[in-house]
Amino acid sequence: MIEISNVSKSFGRIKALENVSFKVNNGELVGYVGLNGAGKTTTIRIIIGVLLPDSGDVYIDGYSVLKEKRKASMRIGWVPEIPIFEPDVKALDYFVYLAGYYKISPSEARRLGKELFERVGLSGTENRKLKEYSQGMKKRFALAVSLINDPPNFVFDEVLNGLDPEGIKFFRELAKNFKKQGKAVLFSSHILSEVEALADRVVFIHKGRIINILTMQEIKSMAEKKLIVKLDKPLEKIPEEINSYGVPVVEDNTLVIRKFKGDQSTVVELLLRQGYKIMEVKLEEISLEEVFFKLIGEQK
Amino acid sequence: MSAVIYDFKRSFFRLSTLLLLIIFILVGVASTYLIYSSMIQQGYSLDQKLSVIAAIDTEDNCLIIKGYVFDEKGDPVSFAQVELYINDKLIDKASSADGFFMLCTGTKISPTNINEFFENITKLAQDSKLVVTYRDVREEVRSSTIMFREVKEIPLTIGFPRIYYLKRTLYTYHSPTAFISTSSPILIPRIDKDDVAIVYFINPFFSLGNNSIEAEYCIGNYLSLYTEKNITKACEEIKDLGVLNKTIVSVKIPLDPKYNGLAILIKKDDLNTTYITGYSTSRGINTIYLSLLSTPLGTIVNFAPIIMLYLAYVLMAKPRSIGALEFILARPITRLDLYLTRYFAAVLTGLTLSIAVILGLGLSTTAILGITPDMTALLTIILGLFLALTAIYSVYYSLATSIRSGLYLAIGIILYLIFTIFWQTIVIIYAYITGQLFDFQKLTELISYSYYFNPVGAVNLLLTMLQKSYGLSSVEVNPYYVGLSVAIWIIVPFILGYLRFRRINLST
Repeated sequence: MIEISNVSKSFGRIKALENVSFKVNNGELVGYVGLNGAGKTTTIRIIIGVLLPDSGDVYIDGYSVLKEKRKASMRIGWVPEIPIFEPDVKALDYFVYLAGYYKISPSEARRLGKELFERVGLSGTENRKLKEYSQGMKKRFALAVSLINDPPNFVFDEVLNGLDPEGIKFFRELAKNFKKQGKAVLFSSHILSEVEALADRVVFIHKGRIINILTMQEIKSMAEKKLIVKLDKPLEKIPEEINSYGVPVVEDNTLVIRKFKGDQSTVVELLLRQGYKIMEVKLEEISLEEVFFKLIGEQK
Repeated sequence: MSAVIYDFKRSFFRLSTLLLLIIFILVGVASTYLIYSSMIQQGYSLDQKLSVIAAIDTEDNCLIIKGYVFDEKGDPVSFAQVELYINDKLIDKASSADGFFMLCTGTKISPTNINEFFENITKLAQDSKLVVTYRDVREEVRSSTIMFREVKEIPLTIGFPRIYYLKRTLYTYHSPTAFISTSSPILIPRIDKDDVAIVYFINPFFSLGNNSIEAEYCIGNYLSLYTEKNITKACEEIKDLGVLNKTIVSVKIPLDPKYNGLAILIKKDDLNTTYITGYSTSRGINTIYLSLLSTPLGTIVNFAPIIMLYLAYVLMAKPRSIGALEFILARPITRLDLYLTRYFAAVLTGLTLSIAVILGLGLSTTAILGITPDMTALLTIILGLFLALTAIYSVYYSLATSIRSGLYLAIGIILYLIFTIFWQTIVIIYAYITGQLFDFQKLTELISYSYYFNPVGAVNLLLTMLQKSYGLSSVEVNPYYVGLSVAIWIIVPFILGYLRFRRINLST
């Protein structure tokens, strides 16, 4: 379980995070969504223990990242958005070096390295220098390193960015499998639809503050259809039958039916019968992204 | 621990480190050759076991050679075969008795024909050599002419510069029977355990008449004796050796272990000259070696910090600047673990380099000079180099945790230049400002003491201490101050660096 408790962080005068708190339970995949610069990566770096918060703490399976860093880090894996390694070393050598921090002997680490390289699709590239790796390969390498001790918690930071379709599929499947295995998974993205098929819950962050935490069900229910009908004159009275198609609202000579369900031609026919001329008919659907922008209170 | 070893391997087995290591070892080998040739030029025999001192004299209007032969322990030997060659032609041979031998050059002297006399003298000075054979040892000794230090020309009515033969063999001597000298025609085959030296020196005045001279001696600091214009100022006390009239004078002089210089002041009528030499109660070859070691060691100390500058760049400045340390820190380690790992990896590299370079120097000494260097001296120099490299690494490492890699390199190179290449220049400028530039002793002390304030000073300070113990330096270095200086240079930057590193943002 990953628990972020009242974390705040400033860079100079800029408040990057303000009192951020949320949990990722075991067997749960939580999407962490916000615009670029909202504070997702800063939160994740604090969760991983590579950045110190100004206040607050993070607990990984109950271990404080600040006070029990070694134990906390043993229980969490991390695939960063842009993995950065020392460039001049060979991949497998670097893996063995990092495995040393998990108290794994070089011979065992070498064996494990080959096994994990194969699992993440890097087989045959063990002796290439890390600077020769593509962005996708670097993410796979970061994953292989994170899998050294198969930790019960995982954090993916905008991991799908810059990946080819195969890579995207790989990481999506991986995240789902982790969830099935009972791991707590935090999956950050700046695109809500990216986590739509994965997440149980979504934590929305904007300008360093958590603005909402919703289940996927709640988010989907916020996504709605609306029928907009422009008339030649203002509607004097909403016909009774319209109420069965949704929630009608009149704005001057425009009828808007929110949460629209049914056949739009029937609504048009009804209005024609009432003596109105139809100037324009438009059926709008509110996407997840619009829900997101709605939530953060900004226009797309 | 395995991470330290991994980082150490990455530090040590990189092309630049290995290349510099090879260069340093080559510098060591080349310097040993220089030391060897310098010793040969000074008349030391490194591969033979005999010491010889001899000089031209006259007897019955004939030019003769009188001399002594000593074995490796400094004892005069009997039955040594001594042959005189002129233009590779055997002229005379004799056998030594209690070390003494006498040879006839076959050249008659005609006091009335000065030109012929000059010709004969010149021939001896240029073309003669002694070949001394004792048991299975054969030693060739070429002629030299006394160069007067204070007397430029000797009036013909008084005499001529003396021709002499001198071969000093030191490496086989046992402590405390060693002696070092520069170009003075002095041989001290042994110093007894009560520090009384048996001193043989050439009477510089060679005349056809009275050869008697008055001689005095004094003990003092070798460098002061050598550089002080008025030698009496550098002397502890001038003592009389009496009137001497032998060609090769033999006297016993009690040496003071506190000092390392002996001056013999020789007077004849209005003329005088002085022989100055350094002495040591330690094994001679080591003393000479140690006195000449400053040059290669100085070269190594001047350039080795480049490795540490580079290692701090590779292990800290660069990965920190590009953000590569974050991924490592995501492992089950703390910032302190990461900081210590990368620090000790380079310290281990510094230790390996110090051992490799100094052992390389030691091995080349054994191979070229045929001697085993004093292990205490070697270990002290290894320790000095290691501490110097650790201290400068602490400074660089501290910088590397605080600033971006480009700026780190710029500041690092400036610090390198200040602490190594320009250090003595800075001290000399300071000496000039404070009026100490022209006082040799004060300037020497100032340069030595300045190393307390230099992170790479440990090696110079320990070398000075070592040279002092061998009587090669008059500067008293306080070992506690050395320890304090080294501790401050290592610990303070290390702690400051960590205080910065523990909170610094490791992201790009």
